[in-house]
Amino acid sequence: MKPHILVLTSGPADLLREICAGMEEEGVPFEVVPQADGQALDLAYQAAQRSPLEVGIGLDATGLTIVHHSKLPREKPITRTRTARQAGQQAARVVIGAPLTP
Amino acid sequence: MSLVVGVDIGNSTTEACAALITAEGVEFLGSGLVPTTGIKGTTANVDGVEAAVRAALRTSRLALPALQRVFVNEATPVISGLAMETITETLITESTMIGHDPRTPGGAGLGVGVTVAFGELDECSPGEKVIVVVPVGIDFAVVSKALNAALERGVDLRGAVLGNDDAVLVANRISCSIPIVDEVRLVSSVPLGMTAAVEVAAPGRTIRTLSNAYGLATVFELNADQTRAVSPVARALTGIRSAVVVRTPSGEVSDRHIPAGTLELGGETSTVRIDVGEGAEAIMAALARVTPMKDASGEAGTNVGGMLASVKENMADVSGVDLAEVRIGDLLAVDTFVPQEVRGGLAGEVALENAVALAAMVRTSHGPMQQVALAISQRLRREGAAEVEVVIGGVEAEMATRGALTTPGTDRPLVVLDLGGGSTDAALADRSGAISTVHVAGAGDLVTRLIASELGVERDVAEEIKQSPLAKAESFFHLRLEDGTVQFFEEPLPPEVFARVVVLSTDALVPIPVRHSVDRIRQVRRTAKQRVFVVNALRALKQIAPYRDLRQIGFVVLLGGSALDFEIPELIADALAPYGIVCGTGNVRGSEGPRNAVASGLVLSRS
Repeated sequence: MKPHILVLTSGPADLLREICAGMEEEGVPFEVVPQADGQALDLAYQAAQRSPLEVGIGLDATGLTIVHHSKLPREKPITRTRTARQAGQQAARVVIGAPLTP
Repeated sequence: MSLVVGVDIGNSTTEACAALITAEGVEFLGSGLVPTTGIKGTTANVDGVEAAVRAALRTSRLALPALQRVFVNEATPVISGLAMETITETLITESTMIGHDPRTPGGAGLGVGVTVAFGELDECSPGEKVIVVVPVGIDFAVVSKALNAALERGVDLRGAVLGNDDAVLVANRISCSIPIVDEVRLVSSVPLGMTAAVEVAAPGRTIRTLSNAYGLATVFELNADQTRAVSPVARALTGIRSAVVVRTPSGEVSDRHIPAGTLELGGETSTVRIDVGEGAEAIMAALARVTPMKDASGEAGTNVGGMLASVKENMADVSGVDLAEVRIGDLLAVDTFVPQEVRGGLAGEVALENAVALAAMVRTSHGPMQQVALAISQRLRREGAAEVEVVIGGVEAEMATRGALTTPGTDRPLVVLDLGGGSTDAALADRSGAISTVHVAGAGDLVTRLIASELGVERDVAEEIKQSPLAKAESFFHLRLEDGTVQFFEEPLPPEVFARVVVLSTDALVPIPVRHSVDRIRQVRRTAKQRVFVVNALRALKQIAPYRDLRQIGFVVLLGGSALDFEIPELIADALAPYGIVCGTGNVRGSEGPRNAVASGLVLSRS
């Protein structure tokens, strides 16, 4: 399996596009799997467990984006934000080991 | 048999030790350390003294009523001041360069063309060499589409300058490979219709053409005089991954030397004048010629004049001495550099400007110790020590050497080096027991100031950097320490620490909010300590050593707060090793470390 960040989304397409742009700008590959429904935290946690890079993103219908890491406890994600571009960027930065923007 | 307490009122801490004096000698019991209240040598010290006495008695399991005598030191306050002034300035007139270093530029290579606004790309004719300038807020898909359309029409697109952080996104979506620089904050100020060059280096490399004066000359077809004028541009662009240079008719980057003024150092017999612009080394050489210095002043109306005036004012405020009476007894000049935003830059570019930091020191007259002693005895009597008698002990330096000699393995001739916050104080006890002292300006506070300015961080962050080793959070569960070892954590580290350089302070991980590497910060920290403490240790020892020969000193005992530092003692010991000196951190009475020397000395001198 190729390395990638997994994005599980049940949210708006325009936000998804921004999330992906954030990762692309940082040069980290990603894959998107649409979901019928689900909360951002659940999606992010699942995505992180399944992601070969151990980082997952969940986007839900409310527009909330959560970035998670497979080794972190479920209740303690890396970030929760409504700025989709930033979420994508943060996820990529965790993978490449760059400091996260506050 | 009597219960006594020795109290040392220092600039920042008040230390005490309790002891029983019997016919056989002295039996030390406990000790205490509290922050000094008020300025050393004033009656405001009483609160701190009471707290220190109580702490010393508490650790001895004794109460105030049993206390018979208190010895306090004769305080000679040494007050210090700091100032820093930049002596060069880089300014860009008519915006000719964008030398910033976005994390993610796009494409690679060098492109030269004429700057064209994004909205006017449609009007470019085929074959025209173009550098497109895209304002903030235009979506990357829109930008890519327009650039592709222009390329299809045959426009020779050579490079792009973006306001957004979109360089990689755009580079991935256009049909040719061009260098793209993004996150240019003031993209709207980029001059249009001018010849410009955009360069992006491959990952892991730095730009080659725009950082080379002859590269610029080739790109812009400059003659020798023009090349001389643009050479500061090249210098300002070294070591970065991407840059844009726009050639405007009258624009230039200049490297201005700010007239820093002259410093006047007055010695006993002569006065030396020295231009601050000549740097720290020249200033210190001039100072050595007039030592012992009587006073120093700066030329009025210049930076150095302002610097010394502010130091003196500050010292007059602190000590309560009349401004006209303040005499600077010693100076330490250190060459440093300050990262400053370039005036006229378009993307928040930063240039390293040269600066000189000065630490100055004054010895004021003795404080009103009789009043302080009286106030202490009144207070302690009121608090229950009905029979206490407060005695002003001997000279501080004598007490310090006496206390330092209780460090196991020491003997005369011995020098005590007290590494404080504002000044470094040395006291020599020679074979016969005679004492001499010297105070030199510059200590812990100057180190903090140098770290803060060279890294561009706040004073409190610099203080943390000074005190503890560094580490980098490499994952959510482990830190790589500056010596290469790894520390694991069971609880995940907070996200704001992730991938950042942190200071391993005793109770927390303090993230450092700058992009510097662990190595760079470590180097700044260690050189700051070198340039202050090692330089001052040598300076003080040279002044105090018998016949000015360091080989005549047998033992150097380091005392004071900075002697507890995790690396300063070893830096000084390394520097003194060639002179055959035994140097180490003191361990007063074999148990107190570099603390409590004066308090212990006060008690010992009374037994």
